[in-house]
Amino acid sequence: MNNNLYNRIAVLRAERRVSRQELADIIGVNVQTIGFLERGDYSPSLLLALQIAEYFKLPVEAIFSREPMRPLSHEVYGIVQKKAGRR
Amino acid sequence: MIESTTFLGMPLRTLHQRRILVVGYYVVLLFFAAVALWMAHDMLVVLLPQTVMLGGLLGGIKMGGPVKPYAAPAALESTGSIVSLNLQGRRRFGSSSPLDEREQMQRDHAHYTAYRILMLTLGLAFAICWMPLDSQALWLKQREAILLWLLLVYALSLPQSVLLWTEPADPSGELIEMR
Repeated sequence: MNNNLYNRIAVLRAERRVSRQELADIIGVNVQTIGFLERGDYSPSLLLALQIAEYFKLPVEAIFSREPMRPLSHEVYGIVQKKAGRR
Repeated sequence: MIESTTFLGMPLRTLHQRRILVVGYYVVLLFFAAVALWMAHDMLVVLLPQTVMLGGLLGGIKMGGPVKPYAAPAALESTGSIVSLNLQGRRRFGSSSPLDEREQMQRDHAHYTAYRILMLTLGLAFAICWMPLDSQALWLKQREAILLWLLLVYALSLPQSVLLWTEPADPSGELIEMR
């Protein structure tokens, strides 16, 4: 069974122009922990995952997944294509 | 939060630097132990400051060593005369610790590993002590205080050594870093 937990923290952080240090300060962890999370070297507790989700104002499942994350651009492009297909 | 691992003010960012410190530490410890065993009768007074120095060098002294220190758990919150059981584990104490959850997990793992190494060492030490060698037993008997000192410093430093040996390099600066 695959126990990896994938996340989009790095992408979301870049998108919102938040530094690792800022994110670490807001959620109350060491800045190194953000690096570990982004690299997938550490799986956060439920509490930490919820804090991160709260900060980004997104559901937890939009940030963390047990399956490798598809690039956001693919997902957005897929939605646009679907909408265009309906028209 | 403790920002990063340092030793006497010098940052230890890479695994290589940390491992060199651990090896250097045990070389110094073995040197002191060898001198103490050689000069068995005169060394006990000298061993005391060495215990403080060597025991504290790798992080035993709060905030002074290179390894992130333990935080004493906060007292249980009491709303009356009855103190409730802590059913939430360490999470309840989390806010009082200078370590975040990843660091706490790393620290706990280091202590568990150190415990296993210590048990193995003690097992080997006792096996050697029980060997039916009269001259060896007498030699050990004369120096048991020094051997106990060595065991004490070894036990004090082992968790910190494990942490230094296994803690991965600082990942800062990788991937996306803003500003």
